[in-house]
Amino acid sequence: MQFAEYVITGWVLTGVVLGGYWLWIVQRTRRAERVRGRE
Amino acid sequence: MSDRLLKPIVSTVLGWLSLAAVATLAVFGLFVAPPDEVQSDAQRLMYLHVPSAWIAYLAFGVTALASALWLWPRTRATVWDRVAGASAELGVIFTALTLILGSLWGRPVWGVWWAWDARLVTTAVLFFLYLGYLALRRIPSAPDARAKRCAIAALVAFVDVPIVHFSVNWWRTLHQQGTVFNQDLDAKIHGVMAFTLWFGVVAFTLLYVYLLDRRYRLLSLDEDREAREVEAAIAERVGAAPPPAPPTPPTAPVEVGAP
Repeated sequence: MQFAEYVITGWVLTGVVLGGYWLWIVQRTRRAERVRGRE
Repeated sequence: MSDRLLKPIVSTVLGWLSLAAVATLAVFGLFVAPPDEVQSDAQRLMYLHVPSAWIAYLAFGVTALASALWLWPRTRATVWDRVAGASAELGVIFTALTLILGSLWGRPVWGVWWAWDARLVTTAVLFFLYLGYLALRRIPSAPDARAKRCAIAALVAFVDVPIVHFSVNWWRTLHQQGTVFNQDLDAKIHGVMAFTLWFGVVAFTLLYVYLLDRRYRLLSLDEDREAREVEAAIAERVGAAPPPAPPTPPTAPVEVGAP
């Protein structure tokens, strides 16, 4: 593959950003639900 | 008021569907679609760059629409303020991805990471406008006052979206004109490459709807907790305050000029 370093960086970066954002939402939601359950 | 946009089962199905769609997009974008004759394999970044830009438009469009619905007294509801906030955050993330992926594509094809091109500059302005909008949302104040100023800011910031889109027609700089939605509405992409591009748009749209629902839920939980904390703080203060003074007996009116 030509320009593999640019292509792979772009795809991996997109996966990391979107996957990380999803994980952040899931963790924060679970924490918020736990807090609400304790109240 | 519900703290969800979608039913949990719908959200779960949408999540798995988005994951499957993005995985399929990766297979088509990296292996199935042929390399471009001019750009070679760098073209494979377009299967992410174009859908990201589309989602950024969509997200800011939803933010503007929800903000308008909040400002209109007949439709005013907290749900619109939360949808606007959740969608703007997604818009900022996808705009950042658009800029980064465009930069990664520009280096091998244009020979530069960045150019002071009309499309690039207006997109960067869009990114910073909505970053400012998100900062505005974090300034503590009464919910209605915050919602009002954020809704106005969102509508003002949205003016930049058509400027970004038409910048390639209005100013002839480095960025090429639209491949699909160009002035002649004559798509310059065909076959597997066109399919992969359209599939990317569908996959990212599914992902956007799923993430919007999840972000809305988190925003609702956070805002409800903040409201409960404020109520508890007020109750604590009221409870700790000294008992109110007994009412004073009414005094007899005094005539003006009486000795």
